[in-house]
Amino acid sequence: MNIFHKVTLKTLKENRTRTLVTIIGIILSTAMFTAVTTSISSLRHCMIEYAKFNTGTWHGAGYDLSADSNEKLRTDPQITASTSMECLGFSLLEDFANKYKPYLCVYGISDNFTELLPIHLTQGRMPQNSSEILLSQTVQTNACMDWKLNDSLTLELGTRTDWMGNLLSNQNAFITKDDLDSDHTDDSLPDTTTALDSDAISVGAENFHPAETRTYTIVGFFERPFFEGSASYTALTASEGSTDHTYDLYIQTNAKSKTDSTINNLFDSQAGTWRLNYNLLRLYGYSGESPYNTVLTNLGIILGIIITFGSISLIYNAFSISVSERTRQFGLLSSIGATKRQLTGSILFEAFFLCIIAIPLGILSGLAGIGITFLSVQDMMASVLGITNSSSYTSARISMILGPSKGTSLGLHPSLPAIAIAAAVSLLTVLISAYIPAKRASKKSAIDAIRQANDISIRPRKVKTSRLTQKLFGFEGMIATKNYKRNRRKYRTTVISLFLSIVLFISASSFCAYLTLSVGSVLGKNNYDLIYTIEPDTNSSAEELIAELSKADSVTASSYAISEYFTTLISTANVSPEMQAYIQKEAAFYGGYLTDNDKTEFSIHVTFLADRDFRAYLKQLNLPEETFFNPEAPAAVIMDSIKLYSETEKKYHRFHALADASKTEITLYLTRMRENYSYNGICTDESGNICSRFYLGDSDEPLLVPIEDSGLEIPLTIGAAADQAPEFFSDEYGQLRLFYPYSMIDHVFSSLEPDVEYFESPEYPASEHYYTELFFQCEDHNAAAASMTKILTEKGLAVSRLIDYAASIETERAMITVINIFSFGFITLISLIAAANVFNTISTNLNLRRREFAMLKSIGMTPRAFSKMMNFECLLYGFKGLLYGLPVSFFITWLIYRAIGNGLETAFFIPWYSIAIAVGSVFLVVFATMLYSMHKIHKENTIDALKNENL
Amino acid sequence: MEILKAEHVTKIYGTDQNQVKALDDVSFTINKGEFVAIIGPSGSGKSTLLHILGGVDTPTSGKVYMEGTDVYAQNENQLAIFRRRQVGLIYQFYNLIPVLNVTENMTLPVLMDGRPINQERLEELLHLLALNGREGHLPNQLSGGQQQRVSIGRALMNAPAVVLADEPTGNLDSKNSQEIVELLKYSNEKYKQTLVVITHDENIALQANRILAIEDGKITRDEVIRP
Repeated sequence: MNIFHKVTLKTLKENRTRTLVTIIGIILSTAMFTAVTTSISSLRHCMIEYAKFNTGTWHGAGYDLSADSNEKLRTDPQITASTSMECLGFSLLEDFANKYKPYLCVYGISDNFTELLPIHLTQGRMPQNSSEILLSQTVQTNACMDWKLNDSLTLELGTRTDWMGNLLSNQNAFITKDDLDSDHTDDSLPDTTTALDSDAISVGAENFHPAETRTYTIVGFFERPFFEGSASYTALTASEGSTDHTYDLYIQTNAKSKTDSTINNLFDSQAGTWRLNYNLLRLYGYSGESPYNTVLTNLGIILGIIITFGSISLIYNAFSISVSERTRQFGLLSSIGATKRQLTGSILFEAFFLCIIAIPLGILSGLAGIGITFLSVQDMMASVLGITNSSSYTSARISMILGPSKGTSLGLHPSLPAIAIAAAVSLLTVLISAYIPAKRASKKSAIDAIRQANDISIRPRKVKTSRLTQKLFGFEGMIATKNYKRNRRKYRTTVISLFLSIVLFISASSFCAYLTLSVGSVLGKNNYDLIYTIEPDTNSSAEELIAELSKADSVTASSYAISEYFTTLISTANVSPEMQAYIQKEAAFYGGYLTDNDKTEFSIHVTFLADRDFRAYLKQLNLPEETFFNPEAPAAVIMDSIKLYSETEKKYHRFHALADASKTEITLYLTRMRENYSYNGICTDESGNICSRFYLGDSDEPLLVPIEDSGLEIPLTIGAAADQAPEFFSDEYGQLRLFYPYSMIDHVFSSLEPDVEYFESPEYPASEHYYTELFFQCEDHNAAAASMTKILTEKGLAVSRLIDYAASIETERAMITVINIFSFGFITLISLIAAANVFNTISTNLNLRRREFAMLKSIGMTPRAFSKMMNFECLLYGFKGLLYGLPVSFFITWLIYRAIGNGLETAFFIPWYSIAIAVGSVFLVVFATMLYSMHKIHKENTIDALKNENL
Repeated sequence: MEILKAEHVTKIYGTDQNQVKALDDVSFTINKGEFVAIIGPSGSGKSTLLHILGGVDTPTSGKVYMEGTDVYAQNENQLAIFRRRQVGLIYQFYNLIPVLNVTENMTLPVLMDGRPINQERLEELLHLLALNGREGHLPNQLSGGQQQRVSIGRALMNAPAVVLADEPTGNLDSKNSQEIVELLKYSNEKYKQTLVVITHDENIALQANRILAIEDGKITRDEVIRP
């Protein structure tokens, strides 16, 4: 250790408080960097695990390969791992329940299958030989086959062909008769001359050719795999390795970022269909797309910038506040012959020394912090990460997937590069912060540095204070102001640190506030937990079924309804001025509104609500039943208070769409089917008549038909207007809404022509062509969903129509909680950095002025006058900091509002609560620091301080 | 033998109207082993001259030669090493490093040079300066006279070509002052150490070999009192 290191270490020891605060500052900033980078890498890890869980670890897959190609590909040096699935054949299911899925597809798999593809057993075990079979659970839940564990299963395996006799693979969807009818014009009608083998069975528009009979024992069931074909259910047995069969090959490569093109080349030559495991490759960044992790990365960068700002200002201030003290020491060393290199070296040594202590501690505390956070939000994170919108994924399933037993839970997965970056940024910050003051000091000639020539070059005018100050605040106030003006650099450092603290705190708070709000606004407002949709051709009526399903566990309330959207025309005179203004303003974005006529087009949402609930609704609104239950002319309750998004103003508006809703005449409009034409809404023709627009095939030339001729007009009767929707239906639609009793549906649509099809869905009679939705409220949606699944299975009804709405909401709620927890942690850390910053600058500043204080005391300044002076200085600091800090914070808040709050219903707001905290804390920290330092200084002997030349 | 030579040294502080000519075309030479006292009223430019001789301040124009080397023709690095090896500076306010003890402060220039400490010389100096038993003390544990003795020790430790002292007794009482002067004289006689001392004290000036008087930045008197 050379003499410079010794001097440095001793100086650090001498200024213990400053050293400690600086170390804490470095710890805090490193901890924040580590926390941010680690949470990003852990989230990524978790998402990768989740992707592997869902689709497996394979990178690419080729389908329908011949045994030869399969073998050739498997041995390709670019492939690091592979497994193939031998397609043993299809088996036609008897009386298949799902009309698009008539087959069972039997695959032979090899031993290493589960290394690349995910199999989630729900019952039993994997097949071990070619007489055992594992079935997709969907054969029970969707195909409704009565197959159980350990049953013996005899299957007739065979091939599929289309009407032309072409072989179909499991990649082909089932071809129904309807597909054929609509897809083919006369010249390509099915070639009936194709010779059919005698035992071919015709299924839809396909033929099934049974080839062999096999008997298997069912050894287990597994969750629907991602590779299940759309025409078949999946069955797995041991591979036979026959050369007659086709193979699907799943591979991993070592091509990293070139995976995309490598797999393309591999499979392209073998002329099969192929695909990439985008779910996984995207997360690895191998997909060849623009970085998928951009959102996470950007968020990390924004947080990183805020943290860097905070920590640079903290560490830089810690060094720069003592710059004159250092300047003197450097001057001294320089005058007795220290070279510039030696001085720079000593600064670097100091920085390294601080970093060696602080950075490892920072990394550890960052990891600990984020670890604890993860532990406490694990379950919520899990449901947030169940990123899938598919409602078949209930939260129960997600927790099962991400639960600890599966090894894919959200754990700490610090990435080494991320931590290295955190350490490097901290180190760099410290080095720069230490180097700049040193550079400044070494620019002066040695003797100027010793004399601190710059520090005493005060001109009288510069420190002039107004008489008013003296009058208002007395002698002490005047001295305080002069102090402030005398050494601007020192004060500036303090004010800047206050300023930055205020800005950091307020912008972090508003960032979090707006973020929470933006996520919160996405939250739906439906107040039901489960929905079940009855298909029109189901035998049970809504009334019966709801009675059955209401018996499910924990169901507290239920209702049912039919809902549909229709195009209507309303006399423009009846449209409210706000709505007309909106339509005019937004015309560029929503060209759909028809306005240049005396009628305005509206899309309305019509709900036929269960009679008992409709009665309750009427009661609530104090309306008589007769008007609404009149079969001759059933009337509707209209809700015309709507919320619409303005593209020009980037925000939502809420207003009444109609001038007087209860007196409005609404005409519902249905378009008759027109053979070979597609319907494209309504418009006005050249003479201003309202027409329906049709297109023939792919042609661009529209056919306009006046609406009186092209369809059916149904005038609707409005019974009353309301501002409140019935229970269960408070969802925001941004549309006019009509409510009718369920039993009136056929009366409302009484004018439907029998045997006519419309582009809009109803067909005569309407009640038999609509899907009824059943709504349930329950205490425990998981229990209710499970219980209902059981009831539905027993009744032989499709379980897939049951949607656990509460589960998806739960995910969003969990998201808000998670954001709040992260925000809280972030704001806390930023506040700590800010407080440490202010403490450090103020205490160092006071410490450096000890001699001056001693002088003032020695010439007879009383302790009272002294504290008065100091208090005045505190106020000066605080107000200066706020003066610059608040406007800038408001501006940044506004920027954040522009960036995040875009499209929110709420207007711009300033987080007053945070501002109150910021203002309070500024003065608290300033005064507390002042008191602490003054207390330490007071203990000192006046003469000692005066004599101490090292101040 | 000529050891130090100043040629037309001028130092101007400030610019335009605020201009102060601290040194105005000063030229003189000092021979090896001489003990020179520089006297003059406050603000006459004595300290500036001393700092320029010692390489810690730069002249506006003119040249300084030390043992034939043009001091200000050197780059900053060479200048620092020049200060370390050729010059010993003693200030009125001692300017010790507060965190280093007596020995460390004294040996600072040697340590900076990365050379081994000449223990013999250190012992001799400690004895000479009556600092035995104080080696481990920090500057704030010493009296003013002791602190100044430490700074003299630091100046002599490297056996520099020239020792420059800027009012070394300005902060001390007469007894301590005389002690310091005796020490300087002793080093001048024993080690043939060239000495340049700024002083207000007529008694001290009269103990030198030669007196230079400065007024308004110009040498007004150059008198050898004992050859």
